[in-house]
Parts: sequence; structure tokens; C-alpha cells
Amino acid sequence: MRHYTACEHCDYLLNAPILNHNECAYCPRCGHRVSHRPKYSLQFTLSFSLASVFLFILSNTFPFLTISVQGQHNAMLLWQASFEFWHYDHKLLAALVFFVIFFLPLTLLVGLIYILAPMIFWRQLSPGTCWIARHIFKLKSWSMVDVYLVAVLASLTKLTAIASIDFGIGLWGYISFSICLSAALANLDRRRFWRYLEKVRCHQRLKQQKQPI
Amino acid sequence: MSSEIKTAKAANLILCLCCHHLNPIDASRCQTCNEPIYIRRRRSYERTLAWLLTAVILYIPASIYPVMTTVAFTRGQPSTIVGGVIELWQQGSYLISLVIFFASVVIPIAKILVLAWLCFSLKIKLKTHQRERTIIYKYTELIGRWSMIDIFVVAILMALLQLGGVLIVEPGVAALAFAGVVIATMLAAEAFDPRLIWDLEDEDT
Repeated sequence: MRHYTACEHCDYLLNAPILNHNECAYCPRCGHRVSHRPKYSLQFTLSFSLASVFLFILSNTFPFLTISVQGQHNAMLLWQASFEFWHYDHKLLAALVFFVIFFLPLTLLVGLIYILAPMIFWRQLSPGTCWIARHIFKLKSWSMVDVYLVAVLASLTKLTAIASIDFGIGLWGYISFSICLSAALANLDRRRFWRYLEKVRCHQRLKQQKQPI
Repeated sequence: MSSEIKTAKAANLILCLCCHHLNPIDASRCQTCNEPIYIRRRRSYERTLAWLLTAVILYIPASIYPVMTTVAFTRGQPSTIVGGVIELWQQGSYLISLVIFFASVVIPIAKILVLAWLCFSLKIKLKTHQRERTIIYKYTELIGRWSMIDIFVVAILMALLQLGGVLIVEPGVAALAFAGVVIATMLAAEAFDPRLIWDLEDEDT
């Protein structure tokens, strides 16, 4: 069973692909990408996640955008975008926006670091790895950092006509954060991740067997 | 691999959608990642239709009511989603108005129509164009997140324009309804199982 796999879109039974660096495997029947192997996939994911965390802190401490009209200034922080809905009693919407642009990306990153760092450096599994990994793969598509960036650009063009706008350090931080997050998630292939996890598990089991002797 | 066995289902194996490990048919949880597994997504057809219906119902208030109200010097001017796009077009920012038009009008409607058609094609047991239908499904799943642009634009405008009553942006009812549309279509795409498209062909052979 280990040597077979199936396409997730058409259930076609395949020989499990053995890939070199920078190779992809496509399903012969429906053309879906079954697996891909970027160079140093998991190591890249870990390093990009670490970079993202710092950039995320940066983009939250410095002003995001500053608007000035007729001598009045207003600086906006990243999390304020979701907070304003709360003011106008759209609590559900506030919670939703906060979740997809702030809470979820951060949780994904912290989760990834928590799982991957012990796996790569010490060949150990931290408690709850399986559960966290499953939820990371499930919630991956709900983080909307890149969508938010396009929305920033869209609203800027709306505003430049009536006011002058300064980009804060926070915005640059958020742009680089978005790039790093996408890079981290793009380098994470399901099949490779779980195979690596199995390897680490095997390694741990062997270690435990050796210890009593 | 023998030529008769083409799918994992025919070989009595279940693919775990989380870690892509093949499990024997009597397993209820995946051996590798402990995720509950099923031969096909549970009640895929019914759940997709239910979420689609939710999206269609929510789309009506989302397009009728104003998504935001711009208050300039105590004079409020409500604008709907389509109204905002037209306004941007008239102001000359064609690219952005096209982006917003695609994200908040074309994509949700296209998604609803595509998923409805996919469900319908399952119902009438259509046996052609499986490959094309699978590809279309893949793209509807990928593209769904981008509809949220409009909600974020309202959020950013609200947070930025706090200039002491000169110019204020207030959110409208449609914002919540539209967010509901986006989430419902995303959940509908997640509930749909493209393997059902191929099952009809496999049953015959």
C-alpha cells in the first residue's frame, strides 16, 4: 500500500511518484498535480515562517497607512481595519475580518514553527503534532493575507484623489510578510510533509528500542 | 498494477484527503494522521447544494442594499457593490474597477453557476468532459478567496477615514451579506467531491 497512492480529484490509483528536486507529478487521467518537490521544501517552510513572524510583529507595531487631508492626520494600524466594524456594531463581520487577516495567518505560522523546528533540528515530534498539522492543512486556504494586500491597493486608488496618503513601515512589513507567508505555504507539500513525519516517528521508535539495552 | 483496477475505490482503498495515505476500506481513521476518513466526502452532493442555496439567498440582499455609506459633511451617500464599481469606472480608475467588478460580481456568480452545473451534471449522470469538469472545479476552489476584496476595501476605508466628521465611511447591511456569500461559496466548493464526476464512468467498466 505504501507504494501506491491515489489522485485526490479522480481517485485514480497510481504508483507513488518518486521525485527529484524541482519536479512535479501529474495525474495521467485528470491532470491534477499529485505531488511536487521543491528544493529543501520543509526547511524553506520553516525559515520563511520564522521570517514571517518577525515581519508580522513589525507590520503591527508601525503605522500601516497615514492619511492627511487639510491638516488633519490619521494613522491606521493593521488590526484597526477589523476593529472598525466592531464600532459600527457589525460584530460578526469584525470577528471574520480579524480571523482571516490577523488571527489565522499568525496561528498557521506559530503552528508550523512549533511542528517543524523540533522535527528538523532534533528529529523529535512535539506533543499534538498530528492534530496541529491536520488543522494547518485544512485551514491553509482561509488565510487571506494576499487578498487583503490587493484590497489595500484598490482602496488607495480610491483615496489618492481626495487625500494624500503616506505608506508606513507597517505596509512594507505587511507586503514582505505576505510574500514570506505565501513562500512558506507554497513550499509545503502534503505528501512530503507526512512522509517526513513518518520518518521522524520511525526514528523515535528506533531510539526508544535502543535505550533499554 | 493490474489493468482492471483503476481507482482506489475499486481496489478497496480509501485515500485520506489530509495526508494522501491509502487506507484499507474498513478503517475509520487514517493510519498516518488520524483524520476521520470516508470513501467519498460525506453527503457531498447535498451539502454543496445547501451551501449554494445559502449563497444565492444571501446574494440578493448583498446586491440590493448599500455596502457602505460615505458621509461627507453630514450628507450620507450610500453605494451598492455595483454602484461602487460604476463610480470607480467613471472616475477613470479602470483597472481597479475591473478588479473589484471581477472579484465581487463575476467570481461569486460564476462560482455559483459552475458548482450548480457540476451538481446538475452528476444528477443527469453526464459521462463526458470529466477532465474539463475537474479542471473547472479546481479553479473555482482556488479563486474563491479573492471575492473578499470588497469587504476588505470597506474595512480599510472605514479605518482610514476617521477625520473628525468631515468624511466618514459607515458599513452597510450588504457587507455582512456579501461576506456570507463568499463564505458559503467557499464551503460549497469544499463540500463538493470531484471524484463523484469520475465514479459514473468507473461503475460501467
